[in-house]
Amino acid sequence: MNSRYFLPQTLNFIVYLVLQILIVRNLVLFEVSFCYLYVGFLLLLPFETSAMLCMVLGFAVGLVVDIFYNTFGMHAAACVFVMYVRQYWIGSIMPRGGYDAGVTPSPRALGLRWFITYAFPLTLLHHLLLFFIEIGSFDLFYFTFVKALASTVFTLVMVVVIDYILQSSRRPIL
Amino acid sequence: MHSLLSFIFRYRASILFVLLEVLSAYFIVNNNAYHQAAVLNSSNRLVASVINTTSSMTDYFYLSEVNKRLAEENARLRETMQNGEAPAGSPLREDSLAVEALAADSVKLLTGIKTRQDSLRMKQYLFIPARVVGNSVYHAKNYVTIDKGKADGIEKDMGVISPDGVVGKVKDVSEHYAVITSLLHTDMLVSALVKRSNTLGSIQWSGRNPTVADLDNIPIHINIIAGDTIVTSGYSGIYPPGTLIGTVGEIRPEEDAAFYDIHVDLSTRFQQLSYVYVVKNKLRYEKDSLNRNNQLYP
Repeated sequence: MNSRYFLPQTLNFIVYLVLQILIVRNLVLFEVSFCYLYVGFLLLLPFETSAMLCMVLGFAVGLVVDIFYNTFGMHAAACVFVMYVRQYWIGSIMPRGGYDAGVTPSPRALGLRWFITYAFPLTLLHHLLLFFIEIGSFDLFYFTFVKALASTVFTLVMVVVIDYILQSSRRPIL
Repeated sequence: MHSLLSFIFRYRASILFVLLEVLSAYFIVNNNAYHQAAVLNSSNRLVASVINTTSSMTDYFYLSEVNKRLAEENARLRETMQNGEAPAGSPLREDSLAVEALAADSVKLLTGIKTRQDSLRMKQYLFIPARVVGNSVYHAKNYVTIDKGKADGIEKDMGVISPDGVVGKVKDVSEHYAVITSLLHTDMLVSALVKRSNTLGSIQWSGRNPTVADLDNIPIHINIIAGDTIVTSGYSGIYPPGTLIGTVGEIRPEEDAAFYDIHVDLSTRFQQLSYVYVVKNKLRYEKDSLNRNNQLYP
């Protein structure tokens, strides 16, 4: 990752984690829909971030969240997996002509439609891994799947909203 | 050597991936294991104080409900005292210790000797009140964080109950906070009795509905009806015997099965948990070491 990304990404790291831990940690919609907003930080890392750095960041963010959720290792495992898959997924949905330099995979930069194509499968994968690792069995397969799906929708809506808020408020400064 | 290095370099991302996943898996297994070395969960002081701050903001919304429930409990306790009953083994509803009292009675009758009251027996259980600062009910493995820790005499594996019934078991303790494995945790087992027939079974949560748990190991020949009271057996020494767990809801005799499939409506309202009691059993170590020495229940 380029050094010019360092400061804004560090800021993002802190903002997403603080939001996750203080605000959305206790948010549950309809008893099945959780919000793992912090995934947004990982999804919105710049394109040129190396897979290795992505995984290390995923591991770090996952562990911090794990501590607050009493699920030591589960978020970390899910994040590392998603970050490993990310590079291949970015490559396979690349538009003709590739991505412009210095662009982050955000809904503002590349459009909501592209972003959903990019983020929905990754987020769903993350949530599926997380919920199935947590419950540790396939006994409640249908219920757990619905939980993951509902949470994916909730998480993505929040990620898009927070991204718009952060980007529009930050533009004049950075 | 060169080819090995180039191999590692070529697959460095995949190697790192495997390493990090193995490390995570190690953490996960270790976290669920009985003995845990690191206190990296919400009993950690910094973590707990953050959770505490956020929960104290929402606490105000539940104040009236909490007051009402504490007042109810006070009234119940006052009633027991006026009736001249010795405070039962738990601060719970007064039907708690009937089983033990009956057992004690029959012992007296059998021996024909007035048994000497053991002063330690009278106060076998101590209750440490604590405030809930963190709680979840919709995950598959739920935990409760409370604001009392080692400094208040709380130790690992102590039972935790609420005015309504069983809550869980202490998982980890720091100086001023403790994490409790909630009854709403898919790995949590509580030894239970059907109060009417004294049948031993075990309670386990399925991971779905925070108001209902499953009662297993009740053989098909036992007569059980909806509404039967389910209490703790006290065999593990974690909870006082006779602590309320819930009442039988749905019963389904499985075809060709030796055991019923029973749903129990939990008496503890986990969604509104605000104050709990940590149970300190003074005779626990004595019982445990006796069992261990005789190699019972390994």
